[in-house]
Amino acid sequence: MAETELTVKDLISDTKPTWCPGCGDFGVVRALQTALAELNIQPHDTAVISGIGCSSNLPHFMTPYGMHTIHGRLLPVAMGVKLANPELTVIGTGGDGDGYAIGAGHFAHACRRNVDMTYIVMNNQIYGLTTGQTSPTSGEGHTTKSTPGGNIEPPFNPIGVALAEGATFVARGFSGDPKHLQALVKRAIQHKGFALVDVFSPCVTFNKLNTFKWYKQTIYNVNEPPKDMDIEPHDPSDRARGFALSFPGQDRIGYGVFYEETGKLTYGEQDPTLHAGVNPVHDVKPRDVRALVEAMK
Amino acid sequence: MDTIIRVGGSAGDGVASTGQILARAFSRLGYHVNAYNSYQSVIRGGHVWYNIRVSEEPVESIGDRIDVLLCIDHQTAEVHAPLVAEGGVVVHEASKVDLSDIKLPKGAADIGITALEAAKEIGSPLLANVVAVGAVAHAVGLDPESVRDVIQAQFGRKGEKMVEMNYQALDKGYEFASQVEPIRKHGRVGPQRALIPGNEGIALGAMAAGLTFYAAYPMTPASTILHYLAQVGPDNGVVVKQMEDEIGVVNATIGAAWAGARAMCGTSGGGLALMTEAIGFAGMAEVGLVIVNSMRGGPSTGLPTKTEQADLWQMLGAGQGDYPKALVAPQDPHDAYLAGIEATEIADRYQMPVFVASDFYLSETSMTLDKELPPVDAIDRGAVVEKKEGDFLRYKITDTGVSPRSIPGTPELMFIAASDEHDEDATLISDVLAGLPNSLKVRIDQVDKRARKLDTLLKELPAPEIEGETGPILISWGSTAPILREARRQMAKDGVETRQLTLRWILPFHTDAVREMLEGETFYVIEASSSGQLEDYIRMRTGLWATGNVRRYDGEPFTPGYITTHFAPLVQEVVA
Repeated sequence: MAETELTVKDLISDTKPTWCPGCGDFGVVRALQTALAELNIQPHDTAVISGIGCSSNLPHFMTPYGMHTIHGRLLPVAMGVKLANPELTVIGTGGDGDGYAIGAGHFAHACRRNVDMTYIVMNNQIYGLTTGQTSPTSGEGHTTKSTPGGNIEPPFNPIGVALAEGATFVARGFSGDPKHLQALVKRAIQHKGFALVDVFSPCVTFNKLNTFKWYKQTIYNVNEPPKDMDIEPHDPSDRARGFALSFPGQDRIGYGVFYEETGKLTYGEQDPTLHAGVNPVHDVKPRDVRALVEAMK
Repeated sequence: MDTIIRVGGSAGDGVASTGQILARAFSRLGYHVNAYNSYQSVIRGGHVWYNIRVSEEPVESIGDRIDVLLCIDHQTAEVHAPLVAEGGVVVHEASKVDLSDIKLPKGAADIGITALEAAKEIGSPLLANVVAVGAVAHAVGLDPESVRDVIQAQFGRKGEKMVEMNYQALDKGYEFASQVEPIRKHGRVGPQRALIPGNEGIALGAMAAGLTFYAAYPMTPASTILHYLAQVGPDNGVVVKQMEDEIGVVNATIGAAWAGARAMCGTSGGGLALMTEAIGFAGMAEVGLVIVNSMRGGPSTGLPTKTEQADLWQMLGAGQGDYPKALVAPQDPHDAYLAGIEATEIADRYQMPVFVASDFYLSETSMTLDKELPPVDAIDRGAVVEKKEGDFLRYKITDTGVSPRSIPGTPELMFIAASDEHDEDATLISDVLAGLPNSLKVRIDQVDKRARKLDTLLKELPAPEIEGETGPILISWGSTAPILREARRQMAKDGVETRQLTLRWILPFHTDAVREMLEGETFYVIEASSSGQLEDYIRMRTGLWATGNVRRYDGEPFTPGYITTHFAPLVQEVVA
């Protein structure tokens, strides 16, 4: 079958999203669908791998192959998929609890491993599906069901961690800035290596603090900072400054591209088996092990 | 006629490398060999020993005595000298071992060597082990040429000078021992035999069956699969990945298997505990992967370098909920190879997790093969849809329980594999539809469909068979089976006839066949578990109570003597 130019419609499945009306995640799935359509990556050549949580329902709302895995484990699953079949475009999608709490161990290692994949985190700074407990990115003082007296832990800094661990594309988007987000996701998919896109994606039901309005007042584009902040636009090749900007400054939180490193070899390019041209899916065949047995004499 | 050599010392003394040279000399002369490495979870210090048993007949256990004992340190003499047989030989490093307070058995010869000093004179203290090998080789009646052959094979790559120094060290060892008469002669008895530990057997079988992905986190006694595959994988089409933890390991393996690779991971009990949630996910999403669980003494960190068979319940109970999983327990390296093939093949065809249960003793003991390893001629990937014809229902209800799958990358056959309960077309019923009338049926149909896989699989697995003609039935699983076989032969010589049943496939289980075999019979369960997990499992399946049991859980492998000693009073009870 000839593969025709894709449209966004080709990426939308028959399953209606189960998110609350107004949820930030609608913007994320649309950005991903638009990016894949614009890049003309066929749904059958794409694997969207998610964890558990409201946002992790995302693969069901799209047409590509997908796995809706278990809580916090989408990164190792996605890595297994990519190493098994490097021909697939692999995209991980999950939430802040999934990726930065229960899955934080995998997150750190995925960043340094540089497997060629995109990881989109829908960060709403709250646990939504479990009805509103504190998340690793909840701000200090945030009153939630599990922190009725206010959260006493400082928030996890995903951008800073990703940079420290060696991720080669580190960015943050915002559901309320769809044009910017679509371009960001597209650039992340095109990036060769591990790309993190942390997306502020507000929970309209359980997070009454970090709302669309709050984000609009609080965040700024690090690559095009507002004049009143009086700072230089950030150059994504500058990792040290990207790290500095990953922390809030002037009571503002940055979004945009914090770091982009091109030309670094991916894990798959360096794996000795894959490097030798093996495709672990296509090359499943009987192996003659007689020489190996002979070597044990 | 068998011969047993034991080498003992402290971790860091080169006990294992000394033993390996000797073991290989025998296997290359065509002997059957069992080479057991008993070590500690430390890098320096701590008592370690290496036991080599050789015979012209297949060797089924480490044995119960020592013919030639090499004491690299004093503790070895204290611990192992009581096991030296009459007419045996004790070789000791004179600079470290004082035999004056050690009682040696009648007629035992004693050879003092100064291997360290001799090695330094030749040029390197590292050669001390080879000096000791020479002394032992003389005592055991090995031709120097046969040991030189191993040295050449092992050190040849390091250059002629290295080989020459090793030869000198070897000759020095022979010279030290020359005044003692060898206990017997060991010459060529057949073609060279491969010396393979159980872990390598599993890995070879999986590779023969088309394995293309292996992941692991280091954990004794499964680590040697990782080491071996990391070494040979790239040339044999296997991607090998060490992950950040066992949760990462199993999930990466699931990802690879879902994508269409033949995928396996390996661990021991502690790692398996971390994996279990994801194994249930594989059950629900219907992803076929192999999990090797090499058991060690538990619970918790337990006895990291000692053997046990007490993870049965953990494997059976891995993951929440009801879902099909298979479990096979090979008994020796040859069988491990076969189990590696079967597990790889069944996981893929049945789209479910398959356990290969090993244990420290089987995983790390090098044994020669009695027969050739059969090759795999063709791969059957089971029900795979390659082209869209009508609606594609990934989780279609079928009689076999297996639903045809698509391999990601195939046009028009996309689906979402979910950890949530789902309909035939992979639509979730968990979030908005659960509990609705139609979803009740969907849920039941999907649970039942998955469960049918085990019924279908059971039909293609042979029922276990009883060995022996008469007497009580002795039941075991895994690596205990060959040891039990030898114990039964010894008992038969003493007039006690027994039969033997080995439970190889634990899941699915031939319940009817086993019940029929055991109904009205006197039977005993021999296992390395303090609570008797296998015995409980047999009762759970068949409703039959064992007459008695022999259990070992001190960490050491069973020996024929251990079984016969503990079984004798049980038989007398029955007779009384």
